[in-house]
Parts: sequence; C-alpha cells; structure tokens
Amino acid sequence: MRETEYETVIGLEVHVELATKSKIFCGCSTAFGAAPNTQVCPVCAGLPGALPVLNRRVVELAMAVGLAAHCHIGRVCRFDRKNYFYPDNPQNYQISQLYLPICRNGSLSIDTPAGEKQIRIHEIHMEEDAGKLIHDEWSDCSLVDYNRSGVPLIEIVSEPDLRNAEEVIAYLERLRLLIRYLGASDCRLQEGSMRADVNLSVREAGSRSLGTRTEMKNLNSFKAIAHAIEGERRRQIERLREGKSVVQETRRWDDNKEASFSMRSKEDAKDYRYFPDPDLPPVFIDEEWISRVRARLPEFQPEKQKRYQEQYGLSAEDSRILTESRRLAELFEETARLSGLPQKAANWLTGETGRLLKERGREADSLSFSPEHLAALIGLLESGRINRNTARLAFARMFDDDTDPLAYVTEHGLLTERDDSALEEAVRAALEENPGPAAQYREGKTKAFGFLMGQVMRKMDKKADPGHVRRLLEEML
Amino acid sequence: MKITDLTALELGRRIRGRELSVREALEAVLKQIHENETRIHAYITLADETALFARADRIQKAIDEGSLTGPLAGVPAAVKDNICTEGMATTCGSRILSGFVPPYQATAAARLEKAGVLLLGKTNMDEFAMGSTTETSWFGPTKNPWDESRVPGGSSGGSCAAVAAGEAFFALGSDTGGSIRQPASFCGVTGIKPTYGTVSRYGLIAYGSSLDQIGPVARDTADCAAVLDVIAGYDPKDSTSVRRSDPGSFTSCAASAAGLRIGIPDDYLGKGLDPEVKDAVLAAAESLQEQGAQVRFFSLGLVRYAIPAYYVIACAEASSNLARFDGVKYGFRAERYEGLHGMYKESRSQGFGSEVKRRILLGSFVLSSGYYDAYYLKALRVKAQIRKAFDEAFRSFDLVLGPAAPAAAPRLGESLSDPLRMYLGDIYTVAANLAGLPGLCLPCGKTKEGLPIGVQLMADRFQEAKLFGAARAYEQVRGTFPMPGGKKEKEAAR
Amino acid sequence: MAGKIDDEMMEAVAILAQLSIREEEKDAVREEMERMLDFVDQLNELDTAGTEPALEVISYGNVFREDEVTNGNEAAAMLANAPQKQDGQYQVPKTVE
Repeated sequence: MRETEYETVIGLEVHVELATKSKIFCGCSTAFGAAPNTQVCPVCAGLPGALPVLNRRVVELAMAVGLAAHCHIGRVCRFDRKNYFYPDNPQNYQISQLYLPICRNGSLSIDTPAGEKQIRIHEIHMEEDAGKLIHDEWSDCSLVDYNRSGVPLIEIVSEPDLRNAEEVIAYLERLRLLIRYLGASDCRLQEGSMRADVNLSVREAGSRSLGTRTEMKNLNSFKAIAHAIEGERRRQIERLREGKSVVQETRRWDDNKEASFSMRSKEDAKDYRYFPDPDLPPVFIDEEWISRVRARLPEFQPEKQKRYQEQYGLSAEDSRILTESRRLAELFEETARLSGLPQKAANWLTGETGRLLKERGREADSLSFSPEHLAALIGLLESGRINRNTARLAFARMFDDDTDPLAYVTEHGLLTERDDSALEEAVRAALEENPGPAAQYREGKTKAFGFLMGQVMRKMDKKADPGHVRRLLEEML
Repeated sequence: MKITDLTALELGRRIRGRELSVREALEAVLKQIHENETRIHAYITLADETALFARADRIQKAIDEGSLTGPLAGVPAAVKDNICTEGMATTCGSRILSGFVPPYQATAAARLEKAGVLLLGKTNMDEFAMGSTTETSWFGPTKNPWDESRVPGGSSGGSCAAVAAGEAFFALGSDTGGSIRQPASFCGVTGIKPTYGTVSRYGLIAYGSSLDQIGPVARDTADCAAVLDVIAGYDPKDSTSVRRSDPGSFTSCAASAAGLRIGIPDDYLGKGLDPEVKDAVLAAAESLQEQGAQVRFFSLGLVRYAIPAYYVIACAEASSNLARFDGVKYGFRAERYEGLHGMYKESRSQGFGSEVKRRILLGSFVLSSGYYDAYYLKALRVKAQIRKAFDEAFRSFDLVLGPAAPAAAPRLGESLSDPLRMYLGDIYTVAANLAGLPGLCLPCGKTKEGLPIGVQLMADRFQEAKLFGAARAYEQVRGTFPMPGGKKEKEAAR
Repeated sequence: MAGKIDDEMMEAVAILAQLSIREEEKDAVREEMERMLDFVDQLNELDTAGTEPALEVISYGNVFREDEVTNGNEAAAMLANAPQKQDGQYQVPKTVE
C-alpha cells in the first residue's frame, strides 16, 4: 500500500522592530546595547498613572511597509490591549492592534523554481515590544530589563500560502529587502530586529481544507527556520501516520537540540481578552497622508534591477547584486554618473566590494565611502595614472575609512611615472641585461614579452603604467 | 472667624493683601489637622511639616516679590491618594501599593504646585477608587465630619472630609462613577467632575480609564472654579486630553440663572429616593426658578441601565489597568510563594481587598472569549444610547438637575454587606461618566438629623461655565453653607 | 440564574485575573459574580441591534508625539520601588526551567 502523501502549509507572522529614534509610546531611546533599565521611564516601565502617546513616525513607517506590500490602508485604525501576565511585559498587557489594524490585504511576489508566486498578506499591525529576561543559571531568579519594552514593532501576518522552507526564506528575504529599502528597519534575525513565527500544518496532498496548525517561536536564523520547518513537518506527518492528531499549540524551537518543544502550561490560558485601549484615541489616515507617504516610497529592487539592465546595459547578475542593498544601488548610480563608466563602477561594487564585505563581515547597507572617491579612483586607473595593484590598495583604504584615493596615492608616491626618459632608460637596461629573451621575442616567441615587461616594471618599482610600458617595449624591440 | 473657615479664594486674597502670611495659613490648617485627624482620618499620608514650612516660606517670598500672583498662591490643599506625587507615598488606599513613592508628578498636582499651592498630604479613598464609602481603604475608613458614626461617601471620601473638617482649603478628588459628587453631597462640600478630557489623567492611577476624571472639591463653587482654572488644560502626556479655550475663565463665571432651561428627570425622583433628599433638591430647583430659570420635568429614559453598563465597562478596564500590580516593579510582594505565577497570585490576592478582587474577576470575565460581545460590547452599545439620551435632553435644556445620591450619608458598615445595593447608590451619578458630561454637586440643605444633602447639576460636554453660573446663582440665595460642628462642639453647645 | 459559572469557568477566570481563590471562598465568590451578572443581564432588555458600541465620548483628531528622544537615564528612580532587584534589574522568580 502506498503511504499517504502530505503537503505542508505554512503561514508566517513576522515581527520587525522599526528604526525609530524613540519608543512607540514614550520619549525613551531605542538605541541598542545600553546598560539594563537605563532607557526606561514611567510609561515603558508600567508605572501606575503613566499614559501612552503614539509616535507619529511609527504610523508612517507601518504605512510605508503596507503600501510597499500592496496593502489596503485603513482610514481608521486603533490600538487594543492584549492581556497576559509575564514579567517582560510591565503593564501585563501589550498594546497591539486586533480589531482595526493599520494595513490589510496585501501581497508580495517571490521567485520559486516554478516561477513567480504571490504570497498574500493578511494584515500588518503596530505594537510594542516587550522587555528582556535574563536567566541566572545558578539561582532560581530571572532578571528583567525594560530597555526594549515599548520599542515599536510591526507584525506582518501572511496567509497560509507558503509550502516549504525555500519559499519561506524567499518570502523573508523579499520582505527584508523591502523593509531595508524603506529604511524602516535593519531586519537582523540574530539581533532580534526581525523575528519570524512559523504557523505550520500538514494535509493530505490535494486536500483543500487546512490541518491543525502549530506555531513555532524562537527562530533566529534562516537556517533555524529551515530546520524547524523540516522538523515540524516530519513530526506532524509521523503523528498523523501513527493515527494521532496534531494539537494546536505554541512550540519553541531549540536549534541546538534540533527539535521543538511544547510551551503549554496551565497558567497559559491563551485568552488575551483583547479590548480597545481607552488611553489611545483612534488614528485617522486620510487619502492625502497616504499619498504623501506613497510619494516618498523608493524604487524597489525588482524594478531597479530591470532598469539597470536596460539603462546601463549591465548583466542580470550584476544588476541583482547591486540592487540587493539600497545603499549599494545608490553608490552605483552616483559613481556611474560621476565617472561616466557604469560597467567599471559595477565591477568595483560587485567584485572588490563584495570580497571586502565578506572579509570584514559587514553588510552592504553599512558601506560608508563616497561615490566621489570611487569615481576618482576609476578615473585614476582608466587614465593610467595608477595601475591596478595600486588601485586595489587605494580602494581598500577608501572602503575602510573613505580615504581620498588621489591623496592616498600621492602621499605614498604610487602615481605612475610620467617621465618617459626614466621609462626609456629602464626599457633599454632591461633589453641589454636580457639579450636572450629579447632575441626570442624577435624570433616570434611572444611569451618572452611578459618576462621583459616584468623586468621593466620591477625596475620602475611598479610605478609605471603597464599600457605605456607595453607600447614603449614594443617600439624598442 | 477661624482662618480654616475661610474659602480658598478668600484666604488667597488675604495672603496677597498681607493680612495673613502663608505660614499662618499653614499653621492654622495643621492645627486643625492635629485636632481632628485622629477622629476623622481624612489623610493616608501627611507631608513632612519641616518641608511644608520651608515651602511656605519660598511661596511667601515669591508672592512678596510679585512673581507668584495667582488666586491660590499660598493656599494649603490636599490631593487624593490615587494621584501620583513625586517623592510622596501614593497608595490608592491599597496594600498592594504599600511603600510606593512615585518618581514622577501627576500633571494636575504639578499644576497646583506651579500655582503656589501647598500640598498637605494624600487623602484616604476606597481602594483603587472602588467604593462609595471610603471603607474599603486598606488604611481604615474615614469618618464623616458631620457625624462620625457615618461614612463620608466615596471614593473621594478623604478629600471631601478633609475640606469639610477644615483640614484643607480644598482638595483634588477623582470621579469614575460619582466619586467626587456623592461624597461632596455627604460631606456638605462642593465638587465638580469636569467634562472627560478636561483635566489630564497623567499620573492618576487608572480605575476605569474611559470614565476617570480628576476634579476639585472645595467649600463653594467659586473655589471649585478657581481650582479647575488651574488644573484644567491640554496635556501632551495624556492622549485623551482635550484642547479647550475656556480653562482660566471659570473663576470669572458670573452668577446667572436667568433664562437657563433646567430639566429635572422624572426618572430621578421615583422609588428609592429619600423624601428629605427629594424635597431639598426640588427646593433648590425652585430657588433657581425664582431667579429666572425655566424649570421643567422630563423623562430622560434608560436610567436603570446606567449602573449595569457602568459596572461592565469600569470592571473590564479595571481588570486590565490593575494587572500591572504584580509584585515585580513596585509595591507589595508576598513573602511566601512558589514560582512566578505563585508570586503573582499570592501578591495580588494578599495585596488587593475583596471589593477590588470582585471587580477584577468580573472584568476578566466580561472580556473573556465568548462573553466579550454579550457583555462588554453590549455595555458599550448601551453607553451609546445613554449618551444619545443626554444629547437629546441638552437640545431642550441647558442643565439637568437632580440628586447626587438617593439618601444622606449611611452609617459606617451599613453598605459593605450588600455590594449590589451600594452600587445602586450611584444611580444619579454614573451617567455623567458614561456620557463624558460635567457634573457639579453642591449642598442644598440638611436632613432632620443634620446631615448635608447635595444637589447635582449636569451640563452638556464642555459647558462647565453654565454649571458654575447656575451654582453661584443658587449659592447667592442659599448663603454660605455652614461647616460641620462635629459632635464635640454640639455637646459643648448643649 | 444560578449555575452560570461552573468550577472550570471560575478557575479559568481566576487564572486570567491571577488571583487565588481559596476553596472556602469559592462558593461565595461565585454567588456574588452570578448575582452581579444577573443584574447586568437586564441590559438585554434593551434592543441595541442598530447601535454602534461607543468608545470615546469626545471626538479627537490625531494625537501624536514626534519621534524624539526626550528621556534620559532614569534607572535609579525607576528601580527605587522594586520589591526585589539585582544588578540594575527587576528580580522575579525564574521564568524558565
């Protein structure tokens, strides 16, 4: 008998920390890495009598993400309280949105082996982040730090349109790129500024109804997400094959143990008693405000990639790499404009830049050198005033601290020699010292030319323009 | 006349006119506190006297230099203990907040201090403002200065008793379902619950956030208006605060009843209303009519639904508002418990009194899945209809007049045995909270036993000026309402 | 309407409220709640079918603060009231095994 085939159905709840200066409901800083509880006030520490006041920027960023994800922006939205007791939540309720979220009914397209696929977005809502719990291994206590309490989040809830880990990761990458383009968040999974909860169920292939789903939390890398999906899919199928049922529950993924664990407890009543927060009047969003936010939306990656191929004649691959970071794309366009050499600019920004980013463990969004300097470097190289080796050295310095390439090569005496008499002298000397290879070349053995080139360059302390050396050497041979 | 018999405005006038010093005013009120407090127990916390005198001197200096000119400069006053005061314990009358010293100042208290008011201390209240007698306080009940065997009303019983007993020239209270107006009526003082959003709630420890308002309690209407002028105004820290242009002008509202259309709901005069209260209230209406007001009876409707709607909404909000009291960040933590949830449950069960727990449980229930629509949303729909009924009434009337409570102050211990009956005592006051209306209560007579009776005036949202005008007109005819003699004086007089 | 709240419901509500109800109080607490709910049930006499639930009674425009950091380090003041603290943090019973 053939075993039943199962299909996996996945929906994602993605939390993204918004890159605002201050928290969602108070004037505390959101900066990372401060000492515990040094960025808290009566509002975000849940002191009695304190009241929330909404940060306008949070609404604008949520709207921008919603518009970029083709959502409908509600004309009225409001905040609700989600009630549950946990010490990372100083009020013992989280201010979130249930009944009237800011965005609904959007979609994002992802590339799959079978072609482009639309993933529908159910809603995007705004909410506040919780504090951080630190567990002391040696005592029976946990410690609470409220610095993250009240940091603004958006939660992007997809429809159950995803079918496997590859699609999930493609969707997350798509979302991350879009949000980074907006400057709405840096979306780092490891640091928790992007977090994905995976809702997964399985059903018999071909079935149209949904199976019972579980929700997995604590996924802080694409690898963990892929592992968790595979593990949970298998666990559910095994249960079904054993004739057991899947229990609707929240499970915590443990990446070290490569397994998920039930988070249910008796105290976990899972009845959040949402109700409209009486401390926060509704937010009204009119057509004019939407238009203003829409007008400020950047050109996103897919359109930009297509344009680079058409406008600059770049390859699909170069265009893709350049548009994976808005910063990189901006550097490219500006350098191309200043230097008039888009392909050269693309080469530097895909090849050498990529190598150094990898070597330094940095992301393209963090690139800090100026397009003026890169354009200058390209100019120096193309005019033969520096050679490729020097250009690499100067680029590395520019990459690290935006050093002006011209100043750098001048200071270090790396400009190619323009004094033809010195070069002529060097060529003459090389030919005299190496009569054998010179004769070989004249007999048609072109290989010897390279040897002679090297000899000249060595004499010139590598400060000669190779093109110029080549011409002179050919002449004198 | 004793200094403590002066109104706040009269005291302020004499201080500015160099007839009295701030120190003398403070000494007089402290003497009154020392004499009465052991019997009345209006305060939970009294400010440090050395610090008070130092502040009195600073205020005096500012007045002398001309940098402090307001009508309340140098006036000693009290603040209800659910209003956060920086550096001064704030308990809400609850064990769960024992030891809590706020690191920040409520906006209303800050505004008073800026106006040169001396904050004497924090007044007693029903725990978390849940009660109508001030008997649910963890710190013990407050006695009614008119008859110490009786309650002062609640929940702002401490504030009203302090003002009645001369232990403060005025006080701040808070009103969620009548908590200023009902005790004002029991204590023979004047109190106003302003339009929702008029006084910032920043620093007011929430009970029912959509209903709570801070308001003044004072000797007469002019004092209330002067205090409201100081504490009212837009506050960027409270998103529900309203920008309105009239705060600052309430003190100058002239007595005026002529031409006012006053409606008395028939529904407020029926079964359950003590005849003595009814007579006094109707006499007050007659007095206003004699001054040119047109008084008419009408049917308001929905009156009996206000209390159940109120309890659902207030308890729902309270169950969430009071979740933060959990033994983690401030206040009481139980000594013995097992694990996190054990700590929560023990701290909360020992820290909250029974009335508070009753309301938290009810509130948790009405919000729980399966009951949200049937109870919570239903109550909000009824609230909408009640609001509409008042909107209609205010198309025909400038003011709605009625009692503030069904009877005068009950004896201590009488009410707690039957919570539901106690809740019904709010029947004339809760509607103003549901509809966001301003309501003013002022004394209009006494029972045969010598207990004060209050009359309540309600106006449409933002129409406080009409309340002040009519109340002052009534006061002109009524004359100064006496301060309680207290048992001691009565006995001496015999 | 006695019997509206069964044991299971009573326990669930106590968990939501994080209150412990002693065995000997249970009946009294349940009775009080049922009595209160009966009282509240009179709201059902009113037809509210066409009525929208009222939240705010005042109409507000948008209320925002601008995205500016206005608060400094208030750690000492915030922690001053904590019943138990350690290393500048609030101490609670362990939340994980």
